[in-house]
Amino acid sequence: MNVKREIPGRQVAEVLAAVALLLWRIWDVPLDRLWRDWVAVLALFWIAAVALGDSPRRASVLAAVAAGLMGIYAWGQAPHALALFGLR
Amino acid sequence: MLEGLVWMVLGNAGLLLAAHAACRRLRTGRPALDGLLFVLVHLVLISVAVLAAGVGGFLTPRGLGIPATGLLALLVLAGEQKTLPRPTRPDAGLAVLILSGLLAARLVLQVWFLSPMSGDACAYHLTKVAEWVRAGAFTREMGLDSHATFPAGFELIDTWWVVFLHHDVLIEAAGAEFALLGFLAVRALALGLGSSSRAAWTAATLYVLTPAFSVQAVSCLNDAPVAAGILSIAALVAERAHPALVLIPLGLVLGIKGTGVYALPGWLLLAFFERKQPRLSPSSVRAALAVAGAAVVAGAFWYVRNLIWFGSPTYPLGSKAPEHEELERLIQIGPSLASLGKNLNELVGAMITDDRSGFSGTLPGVAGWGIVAFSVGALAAVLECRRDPAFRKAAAAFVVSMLSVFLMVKNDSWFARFVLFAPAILCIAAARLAEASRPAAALVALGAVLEFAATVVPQGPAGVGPWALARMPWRERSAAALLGVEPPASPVGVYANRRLPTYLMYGPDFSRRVVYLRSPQPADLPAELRGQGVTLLYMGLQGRSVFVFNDLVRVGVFRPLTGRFYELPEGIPSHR
Repeated sequence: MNVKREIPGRQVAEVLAAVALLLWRIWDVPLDRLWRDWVAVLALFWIAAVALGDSPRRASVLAAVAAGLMGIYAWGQAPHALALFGLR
Repeated sequence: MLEGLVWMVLGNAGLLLAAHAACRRLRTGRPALDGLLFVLVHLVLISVAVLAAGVGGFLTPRGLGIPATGLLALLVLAGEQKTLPRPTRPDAGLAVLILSGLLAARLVLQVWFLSPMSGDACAYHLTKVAEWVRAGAFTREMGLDSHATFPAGFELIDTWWVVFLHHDVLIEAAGAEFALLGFLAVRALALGLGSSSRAAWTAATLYVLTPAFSVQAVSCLNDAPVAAGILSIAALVAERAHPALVLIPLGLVLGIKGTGVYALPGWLLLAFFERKQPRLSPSSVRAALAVAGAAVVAGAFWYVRNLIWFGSPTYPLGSKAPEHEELERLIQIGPSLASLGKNLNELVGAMITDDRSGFSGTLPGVAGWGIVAFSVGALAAVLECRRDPAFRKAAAAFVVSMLSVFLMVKNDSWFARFVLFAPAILCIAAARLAEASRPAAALVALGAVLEFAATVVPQGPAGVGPWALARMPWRERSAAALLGVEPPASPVGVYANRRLPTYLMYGPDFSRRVVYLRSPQPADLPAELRGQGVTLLYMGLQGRSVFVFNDLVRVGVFRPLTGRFYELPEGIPSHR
């Protein structure tokens, strides 16, 4: 019984912490840039991870978010990396 | 140079075998930690050898080579070589092994084909090395830069790699050894946190690929070495190693850069978390204390030297002298909550995407944590923190260490260099996730390949193309001509009130004498130059002094040569 009570409590605490991070970023980052804010994406992923638990869908969400983050990073960094090889 | 090469080989053999002999007395029973301790002890031995030679005035190929050869002979006679371990195949996935092999091969090529070009390295880190190597001893002259008196623990290792050949072609080998230290530290830390051998090897490889660490390791800068030392502390603390063992990397870090000490609160927290675990003791505590003592002496040397020479261990920080006024603008002394907030916001809100510049040694405006840490690593860390209490505690320690550094350093374009240790925990998380999930492994592999490509060579300062140095013959390899600071003759006097890459003026073989001029006014220069027996001048002034100097040129006191070089014509009397 104790274990059953403990798990939802922890999940609520995790979600609250993630929401706090998200609020910090909403406060700090212009809304048009929020979608590619690292901490905001991580906070949303944290909430999703709590909600999905060990569901098989978690792997798909993880892969999609990771690929999205890689895209965000590559979009900004690639021009500098290409310049190294004289490709830009 | 051939004699120097022989002494270099014998010197390295002597210190490697001595490190092995010492490490047999420090064994913890954890092979990963023992490997880490071997590299740490080797670095301590090099530091102590160069310190002793520098203070004693025998900082020459023979001065270092003969004692090291004697040590080698003694150890061989004692049969130490018979205890050397046989190489075994590392427990790592084939793809990761190939990647780490390529990384090692690339490091060797980088050591050979790169040459110092980073602003900070050429302005104040390596000017000391050049003066020491030319004099065969430590010198009071360290250059004009306000940072010249900062701790020089990493420069001791640089010196080891140039003193034998009297040439800087192998100078990046110093950073390469710290890259190995970083690799071993992350591997030991990952194992200590319960990762499998394969995941630990992957994590270590990913960390060495981290762009900021990767380019710093071959840029003659000390932030990657500090990060490797900090991660060594973390690995030892995570295993609750005996405090004497923890003191070894701490002493090294202290001597390399004071900012490394700012990260300590996190490791104290980790030690608190681990306080109920059994203590991991070395086979000989006395031997560990001896090595720790040597490391602390090597680290504290610079602070004691500054206290004796300048009256303050942290000189010129805190100095009220007018010539050091700019330091207060550049360097923060003491904690600042405003810096903490700004640094944190800047890192996670902007620098983390690495989109402001390429990866150069000084990393202006970028964090350099790389695509793996940014994407899979960060997401995996969220999952690992949820799943594994040991990982959660370590992650908390990393966050506290990072925040305590942010509290202590100014918000500028380069502050992220001081938390170069932080992406290690994300690499550990990424490696664990890659082991458990094929899609994650594929993304990590893609990210690792991209990081490898983006860090083949560090991006140089304006005017130095990324491949320009590699195309030069090794004997003449130098960025001096590319940056317009190659003196047409020797000796050359340097007069400047701004940061200059003066190290490059010595030449890669340290054949040119560089004289630092400290006349209060440009008009006093002719007398100072004559007093030093110098007629060639490099003018590095900015601000109003330029006009005063230009007046001297106009009336013929100095004759312009090329670029910012001027000649003091014979027979012209002092202007004053």
